[in-house]
Amino acid sequence: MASEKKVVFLRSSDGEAFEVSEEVISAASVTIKGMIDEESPSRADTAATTTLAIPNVTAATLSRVLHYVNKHFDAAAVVGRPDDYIFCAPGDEHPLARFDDDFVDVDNDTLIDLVHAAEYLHIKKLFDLTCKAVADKLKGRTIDQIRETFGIVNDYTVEEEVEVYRENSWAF
Amino acid sequence: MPRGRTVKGAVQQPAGGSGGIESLPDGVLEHILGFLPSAEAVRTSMLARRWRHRDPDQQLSVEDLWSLVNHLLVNLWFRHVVTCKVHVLSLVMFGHSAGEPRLELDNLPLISQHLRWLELTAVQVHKSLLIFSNCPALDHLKIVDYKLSSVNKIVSESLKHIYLVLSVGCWTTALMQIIFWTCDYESCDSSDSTANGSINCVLLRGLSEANSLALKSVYGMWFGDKVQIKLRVSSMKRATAISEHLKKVEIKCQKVHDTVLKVLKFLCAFNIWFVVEMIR
Repeated sequence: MASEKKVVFLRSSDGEAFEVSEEVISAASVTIKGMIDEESPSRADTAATTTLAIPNVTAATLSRVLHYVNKHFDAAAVVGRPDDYIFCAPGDEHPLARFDDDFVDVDNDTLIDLVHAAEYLHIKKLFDLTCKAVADKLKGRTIDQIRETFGIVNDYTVEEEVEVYRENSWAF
Repeated sequence: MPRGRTVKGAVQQPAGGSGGIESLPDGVLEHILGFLPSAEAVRTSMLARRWRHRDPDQQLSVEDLWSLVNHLLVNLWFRHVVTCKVHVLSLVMFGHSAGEPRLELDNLPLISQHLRWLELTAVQVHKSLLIFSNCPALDHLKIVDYKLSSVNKIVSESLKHIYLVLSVGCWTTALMQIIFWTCDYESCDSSDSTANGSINCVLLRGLSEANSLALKSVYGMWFGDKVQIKLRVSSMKRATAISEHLKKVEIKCQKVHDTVLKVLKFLCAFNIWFVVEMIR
């Protein structure tokens, strides 16, 4: 299937290139679709494969992102609704819900990298999925626990802390 | 895993790593907090300076929240209640202090065959609301702490009891206008009824049936002319532009405004009693 379709290469910030179906990645990433559209006129003349630089995303992260994109596209193709997954909110009942849960079951740094990548590549559904996963890591925890989990340094002065507490006291 | 292959001898180590959750732009943090219950999102303000005001609720300005509350709590509720054919409707906003914005009712006329008694306290209304032409049963109107800035008339054929307590700044302008509508003293010299011809007398037509009217200013001390006027009515005949029943005017004030004196002089000409009491 993939061999008959046009492919593009995405080169990560650290120089690794990944092959992906143009159709898949265009459906998934607004950013890359834009890059491909920009390249199109010059590509028509040559048979050369396009390589797009993705300077903000490392190989480790890009690899995960493409795993997600391919999985979602393939699964969507199986159920005959190629574009549906884009609109399927995280947590919805969907054949890919389990995949999504596992996908974001990663350490904090990896997850934050995925948020950055999803935002940069403009993959709405992945962005929502990863942001929700971050929110889930915040949920039900005390302020100290969250600081510890994410390595957040409390830079408030005591006075400021009292003030912020007072401003938001209704929430405690 | 995806089909990845190394094009050139790339270093596998992610460049720089994530930089943690605080490396995320504000918009992304807000998006994340949007998945939390609002109290939890607000609590994250305590984390560090960066997180202050990051909760989605605070993306709404105070003004936005205000207009939301206005719309949901005041206007939808108010209109809903009116459609429920209530006879007595009292909308009183508690805990309102001077200087805060008032909750504001939409500038739409009230339509009710049933409403007889309406009280609005600490609520801002606009002119259309005070056109009571479509409230034929309304005979009792009480408005307290009310800003008249955008209003220049009250229209009703049926009002019998009007009680207005007005807020700062209204006394010298809008309130006097009401008195003028009531009396329309410039044109009352002629014995012809001005009530039919003058739009300013619309209130008066309602008032000519009134048996009580109280006008009061609050926060009057800001202007040094705290004034309270009570108009008492009798069945004596008057110029038709004045309530036929008006008998006595009581004024309590710190300082009598010139315009008040003009009105009083005018009223005096019709043998209407007035009592002025200076207060502290």
